[in-house]
Amino acid sequence: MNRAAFESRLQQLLDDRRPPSLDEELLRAADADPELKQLLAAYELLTAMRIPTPPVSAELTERVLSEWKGAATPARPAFPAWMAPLAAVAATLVLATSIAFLAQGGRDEQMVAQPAPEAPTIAQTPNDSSAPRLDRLSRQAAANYRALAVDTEASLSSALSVVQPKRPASESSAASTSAESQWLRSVPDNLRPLSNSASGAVYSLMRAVPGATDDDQEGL
Amino acid sequence: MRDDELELVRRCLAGEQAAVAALVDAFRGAVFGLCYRMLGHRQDAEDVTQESFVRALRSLARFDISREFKPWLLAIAGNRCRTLLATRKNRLGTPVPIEGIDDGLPDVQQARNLTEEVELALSQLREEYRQAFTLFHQEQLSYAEIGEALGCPVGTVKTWVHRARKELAAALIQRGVVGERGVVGEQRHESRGV
Repeated sequence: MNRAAFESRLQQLLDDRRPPSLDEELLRAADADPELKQLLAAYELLTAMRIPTPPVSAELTERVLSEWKGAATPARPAFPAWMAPLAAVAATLVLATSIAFLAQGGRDEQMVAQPAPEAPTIAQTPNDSSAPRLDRLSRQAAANYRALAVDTEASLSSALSVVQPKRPASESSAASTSAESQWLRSVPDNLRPLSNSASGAVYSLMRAVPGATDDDQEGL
Repeated sequence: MRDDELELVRRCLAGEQAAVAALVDAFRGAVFGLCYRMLGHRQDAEDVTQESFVRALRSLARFDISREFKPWLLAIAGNRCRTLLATRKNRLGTPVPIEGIDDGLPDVQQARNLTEEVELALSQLREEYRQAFTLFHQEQLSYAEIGEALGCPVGTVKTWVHRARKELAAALIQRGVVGERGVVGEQRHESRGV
């Protein structure tokens, strides 16, 4: 038996936890070769030798129990499990609103830089003297605003808010017409970016259009 | 899993303190032995043993009772040991030598006994070889249990143990601990006729 075969046999016996010194074949080979005998002795020594393990502290069990009990009874009440989904939904909503707000901010700036072209063009050329013509212009303006509102809603971007001045009920018809005409002229200057939802902005817009009815508003 | 272990686990899950104490007492030797062989430091081994038991008790509800309990527990301990060893390596750059063994190579005459010689030879081995060898021969764990504890395949463990034996035997022969007629100390012992 050569050294490699001898060592392989030794390893196999030790894997099976069998003492090599009881193996006849190995003993014969070791008797015939002093080098193999030396090898056999070395393997036997290192596997039979008991390297002592220091004793475990007697308090170990107590320490484990103490820590386990501490973990089993938390000092403060845990976060209720049923609140977790609510918290997640709330966090998602806050995040989505923030993102939408930030995205809308950029578009609002664009709207301020380029005010709606149709409305000012029409609004800047009213004829104060002709009530029917003013009425026609008002309708045209209303139609333009509707188109603008539809575009606004479609893009879900920023919207415009126009506030119509209050009119005293006692005003005469001529004074009322003049006031409306003045208000129409001031519309472009009163256009303001609005960071609300598109539908809210459209609602405000339609309330500002002269002659618009509740039906028109609902239709939008 | 053995019936008595299963019963113990069930009682632990029910929160029975006596059962927890019994479980720790039943396995503390094996867990501490593993930790000590892997870490080579008594205090660290005790700390990791304690931590391993607490972790195991916290995870007991997720333990698959169709498996053996001891390898599962040893795997937890092995993981904790590896984490500590990795921290040590990052902090110190070198593994901590086994306690009680000098860094230098003392002469055979200075070695108090054969155990010290074997310990010395062990300390010169690669860490994986030393761990696998001591867990197999000193702690009497099976290859499968060592594989779970060290987080590697059984074949790898077997290779490590074989290489450890081979290198240890070569070291003992080279240092003259084992002569052509067997263990040198025993020869001297026999020659004195005691």
